[in-house]
Amino acid sequence: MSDWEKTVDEAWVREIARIACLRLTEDEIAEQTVQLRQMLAALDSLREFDTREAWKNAAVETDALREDVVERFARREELLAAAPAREGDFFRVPRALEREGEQNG
Amino acid sequence: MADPLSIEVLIQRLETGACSARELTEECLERIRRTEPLVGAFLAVDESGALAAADASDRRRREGRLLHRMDGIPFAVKDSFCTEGLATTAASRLLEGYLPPYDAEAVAALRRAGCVLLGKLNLDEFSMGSSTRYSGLGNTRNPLDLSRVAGGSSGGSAAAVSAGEIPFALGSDTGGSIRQPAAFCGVVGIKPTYGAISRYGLIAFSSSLDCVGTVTSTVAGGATVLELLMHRDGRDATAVGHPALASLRCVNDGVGGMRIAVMEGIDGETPAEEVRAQVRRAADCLMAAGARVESATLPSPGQALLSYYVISAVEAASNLARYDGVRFGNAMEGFTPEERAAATRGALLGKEVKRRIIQGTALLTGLLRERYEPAARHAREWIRLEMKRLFESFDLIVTPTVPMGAFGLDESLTPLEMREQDLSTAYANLAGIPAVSVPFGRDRNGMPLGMQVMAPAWQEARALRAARILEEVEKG
Repeated sequence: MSDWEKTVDEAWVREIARIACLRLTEDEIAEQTVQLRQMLAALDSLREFDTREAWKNAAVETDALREDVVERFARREELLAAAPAREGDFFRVPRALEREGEQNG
Repeated sequence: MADPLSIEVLIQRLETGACSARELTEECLERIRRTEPLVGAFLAVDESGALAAADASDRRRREGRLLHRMDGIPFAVKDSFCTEGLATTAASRLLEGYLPPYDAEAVAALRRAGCVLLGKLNLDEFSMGSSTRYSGLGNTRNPLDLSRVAGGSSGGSAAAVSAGEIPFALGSDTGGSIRQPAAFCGVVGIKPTYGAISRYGLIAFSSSLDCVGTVTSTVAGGATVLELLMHRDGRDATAVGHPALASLRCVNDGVGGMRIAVMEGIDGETPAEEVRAQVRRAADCLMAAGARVESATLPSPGQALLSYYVISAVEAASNLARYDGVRFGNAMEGFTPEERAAATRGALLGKEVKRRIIQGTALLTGLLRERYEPAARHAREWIRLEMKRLFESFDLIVTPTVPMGAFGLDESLTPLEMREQDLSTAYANLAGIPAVSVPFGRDRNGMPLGMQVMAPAWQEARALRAARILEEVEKG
């Protein structure tokens, strides 16, 4: 058994889903665990691929950077209107900080 | 199904006054009304916007103020391109109804030339898939056989052009997402050099691989559209522009004297005899046109292609982090911002997108990151160098686009068949080079096969010249 096989179980996938901000059902966790193990098994031969020589020769491509000038986006209202919830000129989100003295359920 | 529409013929009809832009747009709308109940290529049709744009084009023509020879030509775009005031969904329930406040640069460039936007085309959700079966918002069928897939992810783009609903469409190609559906639907798909076309306003999947490209019914039509799209854009730092891209009008210059490498299969996998026979026939055609043709192989890059799965998954996980239910699209309820994001993404994203987010996030985490991510980057560099080395001996490389024709809508593929969907095409994305798929031959079910022509970076004109030869043979 290789080391990732010991790592990749349902508890670990549940933690990955938490990091990815993705709520999954128990069935989905089970399915994703199987699929992730299959993928990692397929990727094992990639790891043995010796490309140090190739990497050494890697060229850096030139990017087309524009001048660093501040521009005001003229369509502020439409940006706000595209949000699921807004309040005046703000995006509305659930409270991120607890009020002093308030306990979270 | 109606016959595919040719851009050159339509330009001529407009120039000679045989029809107006309005009549042309009305004809396309009528074709869409007739065809859509069967094919389902469109997610949205903007009838009033299109007619207004067509009327404006006719006014310009009367007043001698045409913007471009393409002024008045209708088109549609994959629904991963932002369009001002027209819903943009990436075929995801998460973005259903989202109205972008701006046009993607590729869309804007076509509008600046007077082209008439008719609507938005179906795709695999967030461009992740090879059949358009992963669309969250609709089913698309292959117009040449309604029991088969159109391919994907730009399945709507290929199906709409193949069904003669529109003369051309924009798509995007991360690992073959323009070329594979083009091959399945019997039309021409072009993925240009990485950085040739701005991706500003294209909903990102894998940023180091994503390319904007075209689907057309002819090679020359593809060249005409590409010319409008390839330029520098400061809003996409990779859109560098290149002098070699200025004119593609040499598509009819032939392949005399070119050295062309032909590969029956790209990495030692042997495709079915019917596919190999078509590759040999393509080699004969190119030879008869004056090219020096040799068979070649890539030295055992099978594992190197695995880098595609690592790179695309980790970049997708990062790019899709922005869909948090705050700034755009739809949201579910939650007591904290994190809970709301997790509930929104869990409820509204499809299975395939979730799979890639989980795999990408896993591959970016701790042990797995150290293990696979550097190896993937190294393997990509290896592919780039191998391709560069091949192009020292050859001007072009020809392979089957996909070693099979379109599969059935209800058919599930074997793991090898699934891998074959990306196998030949993803090399061009990893190497950043241009590649064209042109219809060539048929499989045992009578479905079209595609031949892929790859060229060195910025040499799309060269690839188009060879594609044109193959097209001429096919159309007789």
